[in-house]
Amino acid sequence: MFESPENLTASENRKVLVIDDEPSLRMGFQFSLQNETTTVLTASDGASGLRLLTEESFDAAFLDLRMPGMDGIEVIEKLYEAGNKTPVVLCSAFITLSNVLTALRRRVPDFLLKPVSPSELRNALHRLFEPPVSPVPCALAFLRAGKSQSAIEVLSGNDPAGNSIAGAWKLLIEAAHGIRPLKDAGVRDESAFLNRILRYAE
Amino acid sequence: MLRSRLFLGLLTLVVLLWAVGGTGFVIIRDTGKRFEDGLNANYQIIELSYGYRNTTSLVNSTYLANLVIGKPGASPDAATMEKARSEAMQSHGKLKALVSGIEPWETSVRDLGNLLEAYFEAHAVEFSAPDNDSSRPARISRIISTTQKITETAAHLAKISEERMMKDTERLVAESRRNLLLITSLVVLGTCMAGLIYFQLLRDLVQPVVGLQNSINEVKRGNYESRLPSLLRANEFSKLVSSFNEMSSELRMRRNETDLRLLRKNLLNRALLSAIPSPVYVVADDFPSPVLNPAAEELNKQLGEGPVLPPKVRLLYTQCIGSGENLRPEDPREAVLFRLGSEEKYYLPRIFQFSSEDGSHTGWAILLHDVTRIRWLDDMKSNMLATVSHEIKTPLTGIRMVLLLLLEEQIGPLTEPQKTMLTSASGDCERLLATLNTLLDLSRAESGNTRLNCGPFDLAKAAAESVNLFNPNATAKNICLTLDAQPGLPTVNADGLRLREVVNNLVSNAIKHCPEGGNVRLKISRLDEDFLRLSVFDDGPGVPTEAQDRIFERFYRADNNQLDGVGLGLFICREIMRAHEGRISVREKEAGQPTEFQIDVRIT
Repeated sequence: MFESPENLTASENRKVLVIDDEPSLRMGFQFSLQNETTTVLTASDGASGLRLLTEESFDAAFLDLRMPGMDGIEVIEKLYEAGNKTPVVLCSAFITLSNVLTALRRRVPDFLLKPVSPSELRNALHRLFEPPVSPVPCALAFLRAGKSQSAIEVLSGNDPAGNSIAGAWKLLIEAAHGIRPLKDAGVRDESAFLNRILRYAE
Repeated sequence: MLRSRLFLGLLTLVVLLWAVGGTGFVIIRDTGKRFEDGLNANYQIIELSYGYRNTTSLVNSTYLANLVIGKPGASPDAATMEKARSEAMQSHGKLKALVSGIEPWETSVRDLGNLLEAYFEAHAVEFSAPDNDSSRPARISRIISTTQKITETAAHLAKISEERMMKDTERLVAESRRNLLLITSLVVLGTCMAGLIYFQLLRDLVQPVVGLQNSINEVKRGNYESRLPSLLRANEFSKLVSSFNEMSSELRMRRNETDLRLLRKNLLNRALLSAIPSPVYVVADDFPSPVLNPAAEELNKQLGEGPVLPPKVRLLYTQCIGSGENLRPEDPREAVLFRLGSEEKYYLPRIFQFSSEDGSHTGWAILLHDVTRIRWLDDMKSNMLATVSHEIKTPLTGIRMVLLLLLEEQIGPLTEPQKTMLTSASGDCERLLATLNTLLDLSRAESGNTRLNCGPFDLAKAAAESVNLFNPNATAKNICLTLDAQPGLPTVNADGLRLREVVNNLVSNAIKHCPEGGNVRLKISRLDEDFLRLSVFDDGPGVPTEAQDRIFERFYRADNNQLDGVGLGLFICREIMRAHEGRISVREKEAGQPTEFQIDVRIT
């Protein structure tokens, strides 16, 4: 139904990087994701994570936002500047709207709100690789590829107020790319709006 | 006195008028009389004088012809002559009386008398003389010459009288000229006096009145300093002047009193305004520019503004005028930011309308309440809350992940007791996370972003769960924890998670403050049509009266509260109840009664 925006990495052997300053969480992530086909490497801070990402090739990266030293947003900026297109999932207990907007501009449309269960984590990884079947995942795939205009087109529907998840995403992408500020789109309750955005995986 | 002077002045005029009239009358009468007298006298003289000629003619014609022709005996008797003689003598007597003492008539009249004597003597001689007397012709001629002389003398007399008459007339004319001059002088004098009276009146009557009028106008204009000069001479106006000056000074005194009162009032108001550390602007309808208190002046100085409303405030003020409603924000987040140099100041603008008692004067007062510090504290609190929550939440997510992984048994199989323990730990972990999320939500709730997930909720069931949850704590303090709920109570419209938080908080507080071995009782009842009431009773010391209003504030802890806690519990409860449009309250403790906290929740 939806056109696949980019040839997905179909490799069975996946290599994933987890960047988090919390040791038990790092361990939890590693044990949750690691299996016969998936190798998980970890980094305890932004700088070492960024080094690993540039030195080696990864299929995906889970990135904590709040870390001592270089934080998640900084890592995303650096990756964007370097042209590194490794799909990144931003993972934090506190995701703010401004973080989301900054991440979107840097081709990072995947967010995971902590606390996260092992199964949710696995699903998040799978979403990066499985072909999208509904508008929002498809838009996300376009965004990962840096095709925001296509993402907006995919989401164009009958929800200008952004009350549905798809509608909210469309407004969000428009805001991130400076097409229309959220205030002009009539978004008043930012936390409710953000809540809608982050529920896209449900 | 003015009255007597007026009277005297006019009296003088009247007297003058009478004098002129009287003089004229007297002069005219006198002149007429004198003219008539003169005329009479002269006329009589003239008449009498000419009468002699007739008399002599009559006598001569009667007697002289017979004498001449020599027949004296034929002549009539002497009766005619005697009659003429007595008449002539009589008239001569009259004439003598008329001119007695007046020359030159007296001489002439005496001459005439002598001549008449001589004449009639001559005639009388002829009666006694013989008829043929030889000397008769000489006597006749003497008679004739005497007659001639009488006629001449009489003519002379008449002439004198005529001349006299002419002279009299001339004198009268001259006299009447003098009289005319006199009357004219009197009239001129009267005119002068009238003028004098006019100017006197002008000075004494009109000028004071005009001065009074001017002074009244001055007073009307509010110049109470205007005084009338005291008059040089005392008169009726002196009293008026002093009365007016008294009135003026009375008014001045009254006004000074009023001014003084106003001044004092103003001073008090200014002191009051100065005492307010917040900038205050007052915009009155009848004032061109706003009135500022010292704090406002200082603020405007720092902003580089004149005596006007700062632009941001003016905008709000305009909105208030438009809507006609007061602006009384409570939340420091609604504060207006001012940059004063490098400093950032937050002012909460309170704008409200006021009006005088009769409603004729209205205006707006704008008070800028400095909430910079409150904002700072608020931000601190929010940051602290967020930081603490994050610091707790981050390791908790790790623990949760690990627990979940272990429970998945992908790492390795678990024994049954291990599994039970891990499940319990995982449950605790979930609850802790839920509490943290609630706390975070509450910190957001304060900023007005409460998101309630309301629905039908069984309050009795929640209370029972709470009792079960806290039973171990109660048992530890040997407290009897009971629930008293009627069966079949309606459900309430509430967000279950949050309302449970409130119930748990109240129960936890009750246990905390209840002495060992006491009772904590929960009671649910229907308050009225719309509300269910949950009461939590404990045997604790209760809340001091003075603290009852404050226990629901943030971070408030009663002084005697030695127990743990940061003082957020009841505040959070109040915020939740507010969001639910419900109520939370503490009942004043009566002696021997347990402390009672109650919440009212709206029925579905």
